[in-house]
Amino acid sequence: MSIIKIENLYKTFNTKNGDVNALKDINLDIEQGDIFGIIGLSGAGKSTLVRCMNFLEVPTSGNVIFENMNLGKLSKKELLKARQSMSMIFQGFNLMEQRNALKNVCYPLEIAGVKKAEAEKRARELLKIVGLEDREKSYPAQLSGGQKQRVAIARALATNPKVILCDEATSALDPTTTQSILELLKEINQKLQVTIIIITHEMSVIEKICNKVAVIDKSQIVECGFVKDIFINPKSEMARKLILPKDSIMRTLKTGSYFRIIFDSNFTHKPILSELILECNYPINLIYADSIEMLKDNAVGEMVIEKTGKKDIDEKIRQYLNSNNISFEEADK
Amino acid sequence: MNVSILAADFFKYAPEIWVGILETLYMVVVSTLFSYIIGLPIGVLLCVTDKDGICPCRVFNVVCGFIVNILRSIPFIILLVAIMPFTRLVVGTTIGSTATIVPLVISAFPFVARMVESSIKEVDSGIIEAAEAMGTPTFKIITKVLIPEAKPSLIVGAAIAITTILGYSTMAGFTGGGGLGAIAINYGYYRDNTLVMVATVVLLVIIVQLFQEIGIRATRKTDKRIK
Repeated sequence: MSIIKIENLYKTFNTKNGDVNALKDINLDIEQGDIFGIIGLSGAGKSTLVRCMNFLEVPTSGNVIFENMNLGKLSKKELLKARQSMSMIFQGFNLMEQRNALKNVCYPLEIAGVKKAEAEKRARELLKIVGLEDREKSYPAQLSGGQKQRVAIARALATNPKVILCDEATSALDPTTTQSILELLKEINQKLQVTIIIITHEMSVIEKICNKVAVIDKSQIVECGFVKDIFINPKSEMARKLILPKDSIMRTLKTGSYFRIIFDSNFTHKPILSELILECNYPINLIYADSIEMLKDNAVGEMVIEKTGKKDIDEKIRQYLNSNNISFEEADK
Repeated sequence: MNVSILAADFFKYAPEIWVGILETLYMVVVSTLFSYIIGLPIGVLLCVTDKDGICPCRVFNVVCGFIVNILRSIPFIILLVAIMPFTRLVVGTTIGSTATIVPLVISAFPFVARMVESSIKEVDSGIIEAAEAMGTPTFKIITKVLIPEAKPSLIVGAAIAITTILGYSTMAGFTGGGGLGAIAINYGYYRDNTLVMVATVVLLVIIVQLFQEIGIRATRKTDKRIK
């Protein structure tokens, strides 16, 4: 079931130097339970897009439909209410500096009109979920970046939202902390059935946690689908650039002829190279191999092998790959 | 003149000086209070109606900002005299400490409004965005986010405002206002009693230091960013 649907969305900013089209004809369908990634370079429009989802930015035209409500048609009061089901976490954490961790988590509950004692009880439960039950009295200034983002996640969960929007939520964190925050988000997605939308410029974030991804380039969505599919077969140039930066291995190989073999989780435990050698009964030179581990239990990887130079053997390699449904491409330089 | 005669003179004026201290504190504290009652909402409104504010309203912002600027441009000593009819209308007299409060408030509230505006502007826009994303209505953003988050800066501003008002209050001595300023002028200047003059100045310095110190301590105690 779709939880957020974006139809023909345009956003234009009127600036001194003329109109800037931040988003052009965006169409997205995000389903309940998805961990949906939106990736693009900075300036591509992804932050504007996520702000259009909760109407922090009002789209110039087009519709945002959240749980069958057209956000553009809601009154101000209804919109504020809808936002309570659609939390947001930020790159800069945006915690209130003069409130301690507990009071920060209580904030959305205060706004929702929950009684103080009840709010504090709920806030304590949430701090426990994010692993900060012993830091409730700490102020943001006393917490590390990762801890602050955990408090922000607890705050985002307070009103039992259907969706959490993450705007570059891990970009200010070191790799280890990023990993732990992503794992926490994934846990929340699985345990609480919260749909998560992640804006990022980092491919690794998409790899680790998202099931679907939209690639945004120059204000438009150039590609959208399952992470696994786009990984194996990126169609747009931007997707190739972002999703397969390792594609550059093919560019660094200046001369020679190669097979680039791309395999997904179905082949994780299949000894492809050994089978190829046995099949062809010919020594095969491995140039490059890499696999990317994903939290979604999919291991995707690629391998570059040199062509043998013998037409019949190269043909055997093609046949083997085709018959096993393994994607590959050829490069002759 | 003999020092002992000067000293005797000084002690003769001690009761007046004591009353002067109390009058000064009375004028300053009450004026600051009223300046904030008027200036705080205006400062908040100036900030939120700004084009980058949470509730932009250009017309109000420009008009209100213009009035504040005009009031701030009038020197206190001129304002003091110019609004005497108004002062009489409000408190029934133009002399004494209570009468001084009226021009003090009119002169200080625009200043307070600007101080409040700049304190509130310091609040991180990300925090305001987060509050909006959590569905906070505009008025609650002011009461639950802007003012609490700006509190340390507002306290610093209050300490500055109170010392400025203290400075203004002494000028009122020229037109029959009360307090230490009047004593400095009437006894120190007109009667040429240097010791009384010096004593009032020292007392004023001590009072300023006191307010400043209280302000700094209160900020340190409230601000949770420093730890």
